[in-house]
Amino acid sequence: MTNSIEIRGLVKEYQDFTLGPIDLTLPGGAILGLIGENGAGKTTLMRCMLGVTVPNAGTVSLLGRPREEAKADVGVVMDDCFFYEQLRPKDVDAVLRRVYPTWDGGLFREYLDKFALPEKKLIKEFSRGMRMKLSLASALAHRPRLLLLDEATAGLDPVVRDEILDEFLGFVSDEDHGILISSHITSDLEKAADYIAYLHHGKIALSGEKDRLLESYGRLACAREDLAAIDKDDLVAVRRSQYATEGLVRDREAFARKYPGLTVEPVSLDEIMVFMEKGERL
Amino acid sequence: MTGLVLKDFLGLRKVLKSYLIVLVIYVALTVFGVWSPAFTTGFFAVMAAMMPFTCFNLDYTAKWEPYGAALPVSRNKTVAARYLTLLIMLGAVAVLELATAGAFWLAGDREETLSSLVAGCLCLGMGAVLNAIILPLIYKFGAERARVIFYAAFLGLIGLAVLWLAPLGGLEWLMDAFAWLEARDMMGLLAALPFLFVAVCFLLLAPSYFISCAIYRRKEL
Repeated sequence: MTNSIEIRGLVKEYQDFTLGPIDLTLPGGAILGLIGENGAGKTTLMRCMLGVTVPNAGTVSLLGRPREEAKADVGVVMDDCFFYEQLRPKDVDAVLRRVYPTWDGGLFREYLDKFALPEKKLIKEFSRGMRMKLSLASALAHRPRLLLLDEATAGLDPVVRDEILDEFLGFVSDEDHGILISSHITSDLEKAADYIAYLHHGKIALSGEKDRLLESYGRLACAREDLAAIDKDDLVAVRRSQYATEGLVRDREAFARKYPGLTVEPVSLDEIMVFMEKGERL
Repeated sequence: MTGLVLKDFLGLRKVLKSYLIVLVIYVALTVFGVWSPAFTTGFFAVMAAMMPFTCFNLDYTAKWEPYGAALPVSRNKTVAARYLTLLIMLGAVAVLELATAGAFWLAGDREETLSSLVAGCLCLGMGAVLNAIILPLIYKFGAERARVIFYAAFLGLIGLAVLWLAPLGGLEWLMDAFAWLEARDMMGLLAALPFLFVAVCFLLLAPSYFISCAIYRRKEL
């Protein structure tokens, strides 16, 4: 089975920020959630993958082919709708059918119906949710094998997000398909993603199967004096406040065996991010 | 590529509709002798020449460029689409000018035929030259900064032209050249000059296109 995404040694340097080196693989039939704080490099990575930005080093292979050759099989949704506001969905259909060789106008109209998007209404009259749905319909109507979604669910209400996530899950049921979702909304990724990559200050700080990560990582809540008795290597990061001391544990089962008197609870992706960003490394 | 050209025209749809109304009014005013045909065709040539600015502004407002770069259209073809949009615009004006000249020809007004043709060719040629200069600037600096650079350069060129032409006695030398051709019964060449001028101006779009491609290929979007 071909990997949907293979990134090797990707580096993009700016004056004040360097992304990478990034190595990332997404197997077919899976969803990879890309998380990270603002400015961590998620959008830069996405842009490098799409050829919008030229990386300084490394290779990007999509669907087993060099990026440029695979573009016709890649659907893209960015954090906004990029069509002119004076266009209508039917205009988008007319434009993109001349851009994508595999464009399916019937499928596009099916999605418009499914998302309740009026074909003849101006895009400027659309709500943000409608615009994102139009972007998604456009990304899906040429029957792509890979979806790259940059903050595609940002600013949407939970009902619309749920609808869109369902669409993603349907899409990826074909094991020839893959999705990379970059998002701040980790709850969406906890629901939909198979793999997680956490980008921190331009580097992959954490990556792997989501379920395994969530099963393995844990949050330790303890007294300040308990911390002194814990081996530094057993904690990823620590957060101290006036009332509590918390630690991020990499392997909570092993930790529980080693420190039976301490309680380690399951942790969410959000909490992992907060620990990584704000926690103190021991 | 045709999809991108269509996108430009769909984006300009409202502007083009308003120009169509203006065209009807201007043609009416021209027919009733209020304005000269040269003014009408010149006006539309200038409007057509300014269209790429509008297209780039539409792209900028919609933040289209990153999305456009993610489409399966090479950057060279993206640039080619914008040049094609311009050529279609200028082509439409050329048709308008020929129709105007043809109407005067049929009416037996040789003088107006010639003046509308000459004025039209001059405006079309200038439109092509201006775009040949401005489009690579837009790809390099963006529409807004390119506009400022262009106007500064344009004014500078006019200043230089005035400085150079003054010692030559203004444009009298050109009129002398026309008179010289007329005296030697070379009216055919004289009549072809406006068309030659347009052809040369349009040829300048070719190097401009390659420069734009070279700039856009390396551009971070």
